[in-house]
Amino acid sequence: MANRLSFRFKVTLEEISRINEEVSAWMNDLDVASGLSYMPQLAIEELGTNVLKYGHDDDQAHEVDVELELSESGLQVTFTDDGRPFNPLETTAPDVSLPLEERTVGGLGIHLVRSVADTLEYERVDGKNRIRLFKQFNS
Amino acid sequence: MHFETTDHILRVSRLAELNSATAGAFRDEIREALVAGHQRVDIDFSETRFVDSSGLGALIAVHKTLCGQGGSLRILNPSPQVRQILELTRMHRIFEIVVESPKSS
Repeated sequence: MANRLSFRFKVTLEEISRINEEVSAWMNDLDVASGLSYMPQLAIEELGTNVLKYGHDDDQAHEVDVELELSESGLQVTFTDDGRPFNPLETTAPDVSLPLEERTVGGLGIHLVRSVADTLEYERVDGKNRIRLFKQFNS
Repeated sequence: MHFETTDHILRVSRLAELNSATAGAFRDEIREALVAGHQRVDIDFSETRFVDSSGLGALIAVHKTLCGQGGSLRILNPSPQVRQILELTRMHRIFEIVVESPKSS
């Protein structure tokens, strides 16, 4: 049987922290292993911060939707926002082999999210970005 | 966040999260706490359950400040998840990572 948790919230740094505290408490209640619980929190943090910084031209706080679904096979996170089109699959991974002085700023957060999830899917639906991440148990 | 200086080493501990909400204060407070005599900063992550890319950026900023005065930065006692974040970004090749035995902390 799947367990679900969903949020709709206006993206601010304070709200991202608050939502992640609730996600952490939910996963603790469900006794989710810490190795699995890091992915959704990192996704909410990095994708939320990305929307906040780059998603819109105005300074308003915009709403996003986050859905978590814990099943027998693993954990799925769906992040939906109405910002400018952003396909994380089309971003170039930063070259982390370069010396610190030669590394470019940016892209590290998306690289981390892609790295800790087993799969990442993207679609643009009804003027919104929908990013779906999945991490299976024991991966 | 807690600061403690011993033998020219600034030890920073009691940090629950290092993310976009806390990274700026983390960086600024360490820079303010640094004095000329400090040769090293040890960041104790034993109570830190979450680090994201903003947190890594703050660590890099502190590292660069220290390099400018001939010092170094070490990461102490990261959780397996935080260590994974450091390894995915190859930060473990920039910062020395140390796991302390319970008696030495």
